[in-house]
Amino acid sequence: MLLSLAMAALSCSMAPLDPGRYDGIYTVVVSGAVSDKESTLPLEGIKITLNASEPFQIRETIRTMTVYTDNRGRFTLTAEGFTEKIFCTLTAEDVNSEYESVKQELNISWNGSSFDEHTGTFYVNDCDFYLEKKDE
Amino acid sequence: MKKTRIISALTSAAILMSSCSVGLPRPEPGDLMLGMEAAMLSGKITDTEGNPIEHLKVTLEWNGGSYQDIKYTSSIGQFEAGVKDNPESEVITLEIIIEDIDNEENGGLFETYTETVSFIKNDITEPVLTLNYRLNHATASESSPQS
Repeated sequence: MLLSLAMAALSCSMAPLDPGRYDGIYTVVVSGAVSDKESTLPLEGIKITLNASEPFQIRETIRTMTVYTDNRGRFTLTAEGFTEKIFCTLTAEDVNSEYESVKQELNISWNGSSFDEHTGTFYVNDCDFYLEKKDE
Repeated sequence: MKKTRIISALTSAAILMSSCSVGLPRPEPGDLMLGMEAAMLSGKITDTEGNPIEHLKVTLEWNGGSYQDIKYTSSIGQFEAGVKDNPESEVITLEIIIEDIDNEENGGLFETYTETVSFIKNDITEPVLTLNYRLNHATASESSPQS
């Protein structure tokens, strides 16, 4: 099975944590949509798996979370319980094996305009996937 | 199994989203809101022993089938949907159909469950309405899973 890899340049800031700003457990919320690459029609029931590694340098998976796209091809995934900046891989996989899987990588540090310092939540929007049908 | 209930006072388990972030999810076309607040529906589905069930198909039919959402449970057995308002009624009616579509995968085969829930709009005060389900295991002859 072919695996295409896309690098997402979403908030790659690696500034050190400022523990004085938020003293709690961090959460990441990732949302997006999955479409057929050719027709751009939304794909329902695509399995989206997030593997989060912490600390960033060792890349040992500490959290795995799975959701599925709805009938509009949309997904929202919430993973919580982090204490350091994290490295994530997000994989879109067709459980019916009709489409190729696609992987995106996200480096997340707890700052920047998408970080809500009141709740310790980092939001990643528009994390979209375009899946290609497998060769017959 | 089919069930009907009216919920007049609901408590929330958690606030899914807070304000103050540029990354807040945007409402999609068709995601009608209750007044100025975005009420959310959060469901959790487990087996009879309390283990979350992943990849169940949850069909939500709002107000007599005028709008339909199809969701799938996550690895922690949860699904979420925006509550669809009915401006012509004080009651929002929702039919929920929960189906096991992957046979023995993800904890075994479960019975299909259908429920009609009515929300009284004036009594909704929380941003998240919570529903919990416990599904019974089924034998192959008791369920008709779809692929």
